[in-house]
Formats: sequence, structure tokens, C-alpha cells
Amino acid sequence: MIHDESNQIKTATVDTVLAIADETGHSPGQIAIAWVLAKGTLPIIGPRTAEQLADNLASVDVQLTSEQLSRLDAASAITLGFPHDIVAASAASLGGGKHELIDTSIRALR
Amino acid sequence: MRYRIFGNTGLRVSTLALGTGNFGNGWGYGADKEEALNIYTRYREAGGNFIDTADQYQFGQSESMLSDFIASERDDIVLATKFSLGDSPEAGLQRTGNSRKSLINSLEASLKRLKTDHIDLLWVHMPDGVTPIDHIAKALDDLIRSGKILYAGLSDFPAWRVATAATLAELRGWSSVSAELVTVRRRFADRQISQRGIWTGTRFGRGDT
Repeated sequence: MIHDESNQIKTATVDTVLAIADETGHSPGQIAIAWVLAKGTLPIIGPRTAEQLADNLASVDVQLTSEQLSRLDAASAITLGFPHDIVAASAASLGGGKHELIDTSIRALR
Repeated sequence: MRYRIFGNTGLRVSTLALGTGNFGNGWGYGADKEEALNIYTRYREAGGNFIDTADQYQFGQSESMLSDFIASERDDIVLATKFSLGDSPEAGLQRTGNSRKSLINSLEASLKRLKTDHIDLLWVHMPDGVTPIDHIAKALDDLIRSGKILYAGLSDFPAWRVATAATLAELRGWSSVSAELVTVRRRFADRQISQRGIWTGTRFGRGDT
């Protein structure tokens, strides 16, 4: 085991995964994998049985709604700390008062 | 199963990679060879082509089992393995960590166990806290030039070290690290649900991996 429920964020994350699993009728593992897939990243599944593999494989057909993804993201959000917090708080000044009108690049910055 | 391009490599890999840390019983738990073959075969039948192992997984047994499974279709799969944690509890100082010597020792042992002459993607499994990233990146570049590995990745490294490796590679004309892997296994067992593990790559620079 690599992560356990050692803090409130992890517990809230698991709670949200379980809630969405319950709502959608998919397994919690499928919700977790579909969440990773929705991020554009490549999940590496690690089944120990053929039954677990079948469950994992079915996750490619799970379509999470933007509302569900937002809930998962919110529940798992971590505090980034300095300098991200002060930069975020300075958004209006950095954007000349028009920061909300600027379409920012989706590409990672160097 | 659909396919995605792996980072900025052009390599086509299935949406789900198959982690094989449960192939074998060297850790005291896992799938026996019959069950492992069953998992492998069903994954392949579903269209999966991206197999992930490590020298450490079940202390070499995962790689050894895979060698039989992949033998007839080696070129059709993308084979990833890792080094740094050692292939046995007795691995000692020269087959663990991130040094070039550990890298060469571990890679040669993995090639023998996997019965192949190259690894498609070699991960540095975890940072050892002492080997500088420029040493690591150069050693990986040398192996790519030699043809023993095709791509390299950093697993569970801090983002700034991945960024440093990528920047050095770009400036010095080395083959860049192609991928970053982050371990995010979550356990549901305590919540009356069977344990599930997922590993993901995260976004870095030019590619999502």
C-alpha cells in the first residue's frame, strides 16, 4: 500500500469517489481510473486477478460529467502554498484589472 | 481500447497500461503464473499494448513471467521496466540507487530475465537522494544511443528535477526524458472495497504521459 487515509484530504477524496460510484453504478476503481483518464494522463492499472482486470478495463467507457470531475478535483485539492497563493491573490494587479478578460494559454509555461 | 501518443515520442500506446507488480509471489502475495497469463492474455485481447514492470516487482518474478508471455509478440508491445530498488532483498549497494553502475547492473539483469535485447521505456524508479540529475540524464542518454533502451522516464521524482533533466537534455543535445510517473495508489480496502491501485503519469512540458 502506498497511500492510506492519513489526512482529511485523502478521506474526502475517497468519500467523493465512493459517492460518485454509488450514484453512477460503477465501481470505485472505475471512477478513480476514469478520473485520471479525464486528466489526459495514462493510468497504469495493477490487477491481481482477471476479475479485477475486467473491472479496470471497463473504466475506459466511464464518462464522468464535468460536475463530477469538479467535485473530485475540489475534494482532492491541496494547498499549493508560496508562491502560488500570493500570485493568485495578485491576479487583478498582474492583469491590469482585466485579468478575467484574458484567455490564457493551456500550454505549460517554461 | 483506444490509443494515445506517449508524450512527445510519437509512440502509440493503449489508453490503459498494464502494471504487473502483482505477477508472482516474491512479496508473499500476488498472482501465480496461470492467473498472470490469464490477466496478460485478456489485456492483450482487449487491445492493450503497454506493459509496465520493474526489476523489483515480486523480486524479479514479474519480469521472468513476462518473458514467456511476450516472447512471441515482443515487437507488438511497448515494454517498460524500472531500476533503483533492487531485484532482491540482497541486491546490495551496486544494484540499487540511481548510479550509472546500478543502472547498468540492473538493466543487464532485466534484459536477461525478460529475454530481450532492449527495453522500450526505462524508468528510474525513485530518486536515491544522492545521484545528481545530470549524471542520471546522461547515463540514460548513453543507453538510448546504445539502443539498449528506446525511451527514458523518471518515476516519483520532484517536478523540479524532471524539469532540470529535460532542460539539460535540450541544451546538451541529449535524448530527453520522455515521461514522468507519479504513484497515486489509493486504498479502498478499509472502506469495504477491494484494493485498487492506479499509477499515473502527469503533465510535463510538451507531453502528457
